[in-house]
Amino acid sequence: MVKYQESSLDRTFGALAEPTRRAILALLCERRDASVSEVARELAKARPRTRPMSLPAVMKHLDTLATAGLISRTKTGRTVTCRPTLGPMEEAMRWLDEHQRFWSERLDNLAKLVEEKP
Amino acid sequence: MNAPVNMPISLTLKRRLNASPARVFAAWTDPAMLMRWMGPPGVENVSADCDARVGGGFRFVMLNANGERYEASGVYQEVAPNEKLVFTWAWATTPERQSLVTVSIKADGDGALLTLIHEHFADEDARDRHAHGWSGSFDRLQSLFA
Repeated sequence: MVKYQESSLDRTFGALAEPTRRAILALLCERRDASVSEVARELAKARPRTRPMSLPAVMKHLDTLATAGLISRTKTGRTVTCRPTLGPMEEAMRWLDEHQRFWSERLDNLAKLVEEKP
Repeated sequence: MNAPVNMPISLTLKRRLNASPARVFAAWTDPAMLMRWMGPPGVENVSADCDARVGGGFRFVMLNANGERYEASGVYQEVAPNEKLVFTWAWATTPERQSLVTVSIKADGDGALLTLIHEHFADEDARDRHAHGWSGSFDRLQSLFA
């Protein structure tokens, strides 16, 4: 559990560091859920000029997203449904928020200093 | 999407300042000036040390309003006087998590436009390659929550 805590942020960022996986996640956030074949179909639609990705390739990306805890999968009969789980994303957003606040405050100070009349 | 795959997350801030690029650059590289904006004013044990040369280091010790101590340090990767500074950034509490800050300063009329990009490295490989410029990622990431 402790190990999970330590590496989860890195795993989130690692999983997000790939355009196809970001596209899958955006798609799932938009639709709330989708089956594996629907994900593959939507990806192909989003990139009409490129060769459609094979189902195993799509599944591999889904594995990576699932390992990072960014999606969950449930099997009903022969259909696997994927849903986004935003916990790890929230951790990533927290990093951004904290640093945004930090730098915003600092840059306010910087502006005050450099704009002082000498 | 042409974004480098090794830059999954970044933060971009822009400021228009009524000061010359040289003065803004000095504010980032002169320890006495850094002291006046990096930490809150009037706090005694805040320090700013910097050696703004490629390979040189810096260390900022800050206290927030609640008296909590923050310490950040890093190494300069690129130094272009009055134009650009690139340095690694790590908080003392998480030294293994190294990120990269790029500060660009451009003349804008009688003032300067400052752009700050703070990129979070996903892993050690990404850190070593330290490619730049995925400023749209923050927007994209946010759009996932829209």
